[in-house]
Amino acid sequence: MNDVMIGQYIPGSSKIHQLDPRTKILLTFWWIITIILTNRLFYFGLTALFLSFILIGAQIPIISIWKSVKPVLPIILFTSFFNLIYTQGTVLWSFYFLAITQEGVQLSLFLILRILLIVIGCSFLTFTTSLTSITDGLESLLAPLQKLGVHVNDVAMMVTIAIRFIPTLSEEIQKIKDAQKSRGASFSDQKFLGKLRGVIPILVPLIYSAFRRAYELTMAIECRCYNHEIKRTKMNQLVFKRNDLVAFSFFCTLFIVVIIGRFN
Amino acid sequence: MTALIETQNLTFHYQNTEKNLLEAVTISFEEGTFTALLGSNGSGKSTLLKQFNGLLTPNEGAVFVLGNKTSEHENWLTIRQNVGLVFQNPENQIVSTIVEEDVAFALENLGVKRETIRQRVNEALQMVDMYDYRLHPPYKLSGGQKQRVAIASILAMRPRCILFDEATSMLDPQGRAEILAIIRRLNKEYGVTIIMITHLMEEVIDADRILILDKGTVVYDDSPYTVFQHVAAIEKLGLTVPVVTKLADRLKQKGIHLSEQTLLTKEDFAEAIKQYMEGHHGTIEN
Amino acid sequence: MALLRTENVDFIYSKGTPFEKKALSHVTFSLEKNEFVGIVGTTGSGKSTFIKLLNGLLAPKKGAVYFNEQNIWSKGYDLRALRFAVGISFQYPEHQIFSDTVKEDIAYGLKNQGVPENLWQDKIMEVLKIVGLDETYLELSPFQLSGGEIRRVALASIMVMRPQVLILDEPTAGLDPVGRDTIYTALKQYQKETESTILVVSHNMDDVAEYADSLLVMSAGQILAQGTPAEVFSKTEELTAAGLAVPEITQLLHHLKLSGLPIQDSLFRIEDAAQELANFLNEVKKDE
Repeated sequence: MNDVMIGQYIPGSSKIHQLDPRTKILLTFWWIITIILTNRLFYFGLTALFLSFILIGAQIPIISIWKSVKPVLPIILFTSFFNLIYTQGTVLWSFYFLAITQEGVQLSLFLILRILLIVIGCSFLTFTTSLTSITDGLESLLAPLQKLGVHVNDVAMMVTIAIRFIPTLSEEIQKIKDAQKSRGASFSDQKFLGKLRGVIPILVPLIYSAFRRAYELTMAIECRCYNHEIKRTKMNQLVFKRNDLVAFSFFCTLFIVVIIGRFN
Repeated sequence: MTALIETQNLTFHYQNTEKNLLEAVTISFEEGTFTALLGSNGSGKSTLLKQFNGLLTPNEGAVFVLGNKTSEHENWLTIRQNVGLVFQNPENQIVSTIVEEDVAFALENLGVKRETIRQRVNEALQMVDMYDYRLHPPYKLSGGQKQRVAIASILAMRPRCILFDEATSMLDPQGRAEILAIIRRLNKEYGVTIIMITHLMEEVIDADRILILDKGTVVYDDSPYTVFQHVAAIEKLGLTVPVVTKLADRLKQKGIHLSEQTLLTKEDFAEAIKQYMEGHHGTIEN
Repeated sequence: MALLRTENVDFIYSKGTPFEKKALSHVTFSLEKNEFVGIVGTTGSGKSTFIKLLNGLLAPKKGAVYFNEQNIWSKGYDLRALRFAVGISFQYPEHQIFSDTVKEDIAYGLKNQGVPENLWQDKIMEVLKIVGLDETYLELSPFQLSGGEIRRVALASIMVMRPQVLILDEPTAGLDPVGRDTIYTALKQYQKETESTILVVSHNMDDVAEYADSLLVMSAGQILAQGTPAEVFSKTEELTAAGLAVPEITQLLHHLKLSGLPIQDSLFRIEDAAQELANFLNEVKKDE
């Protein structure tokens, strides 16, 4: 019960796991832009090849990739179907009012490829970076906003605490369920209203307990001198290393190739 | 010399009630002492403890920590660095997802330099024997281990005093023994002042001083040997006395008066029995 | 005939994953009608897992659980009915309160049981009395009660279903001596009135020894010792090695015996110990 998977993080010690979280966050954005700008089949092949190198480098099992793609498949198929039948152009095949055009085929194929590549690319961020590191990375990247009066530190702290309490609360849900089942509660009602009624005996104690925890946690935090007067320091400062530079240069190269391909 | 913690006529009630939870409490604590604070549920002991590091402040009277008045906001950081508090539930004191980052939290808040943080975190973790677990996520630890992390998180600030609010009551005997050993060591070896709330008598017999609270006032304040003379009166307050003391008291009721002195430990008791038996030898010989 | 028994049960958490953890192995145990049994063990000894097997919250990976000699995992067995007959009151009473009033909260089990509403009032009043609360509590919000009071309400909400076996997980954790006595007095009272079986899980030996007819000591998922408190406490060294503390009074007597006094050292009640020592000392006096 204690071993709830937090997010999708798959612990590991690959080169990609060890990259600075800021590098991975920035490169994820760059990846999305690169894919959006890609517009030829050959270059899609190139980016896919690039992605498969990352896959090997990160030592992530294919099955995990499939699991992250599966939920978006219906959406991809649905939208590309409409692209397929509603795009004007050179007709390849027609049936009553439906016409499939060459442009339609290309457009929907590209759409499928784009979404797949983006989803898989983004999932590498969450596979190889723990939520805590992502928070640290975001905190550091958004630090300049502190000057504009946004309490980035506070927000990062809140997110960290939320992550910290996921296993605690999920264990608590199990305990509450056991307690209510012992009083004859049954959570197998299929009807919506029945389901809703079944949730209340779990939700109320959970919220009550979360509030109590929050109250105690606030005191514990106060005891440890949380304040807004002193500028916080960090024990584990994030530092860009050589490998981060290497990663950036790979992505830069890919980006240049795609841009050249697009405007050639 | 000023006392480490000093209260003057401390009176307190929560905003939404009229009833005073603490009534004109005047006590002080010297550096390096070990005090056990006892009282039944609702006696105000937890409320009193929170006054000692300014988590709560008096409605009337005052509390001073190293001469700093707790009701003045600008003193809070100094006060809390010097007087740490460890709570009952270890789960609700840990803020980070990695043990060492949790221990570093207070120092990061205080803006301590990175190298110093690292050194003090390692030192604090070693003091509670948790250094090997520094990279573990807290949810993988046992209750006793979590409580040790919570203690280390306070120790990292190098406080002069640590308050414990029933810090062992949610642990099993093993976890309890671990924490108690650490508390003793902190007091004896490092001279940290300890004020501890507990229901467990085996934890109080080591204290230099016993403070019993009832309905918001201090009713006993003395060494354990003196306080536990009053077995009947203490039991009337809804509290127990150490089992050895209780047994000696029951024997006394049966006409066997083991010793003039209050007995607290097993060793005390064995010695008293020995002397009692020798005493009888003596009377017969005469 | 045993009322509730387990036969060679094994339990493993997260079986087949890297986090696999064996919690129980080969536990055979039986409970008779009108018994008061204490289960003691450290955290991780498997005692909490074990009680969840007894009302079917968990299914054993091997072995079987029988209630009234019927296997509770046989096809078509009504687990929900079992849970009314084998009631568990868990360690944290806050985990089950969700109603606006104490009355509604206690009635939750009755509602699930399908007890007609006109009978609720009497049944609720009966259990409230057993746990030592009066009718002024009925309309209070359970969220404004003290720790000890919430615990008593939680206990009443299980008792009201009239289980034949009442199981309690750490019923007195965090309570002061008065609060602890109130809970145990209520349990004894309930047992007397209903002739039910009571099983208390605790890591505090002092607590259970006082009230239980027999004890079950668990360690690392197995049964370490079983028998009357006196039988169990005669094994001080084994228990200490398993991380359990025998009652303080027993420890003291053991210490005296080791220092050469010929006294019985498996006593655990203060009055018994005082009597034993008084007899011994008076004997010494007479001999002289």
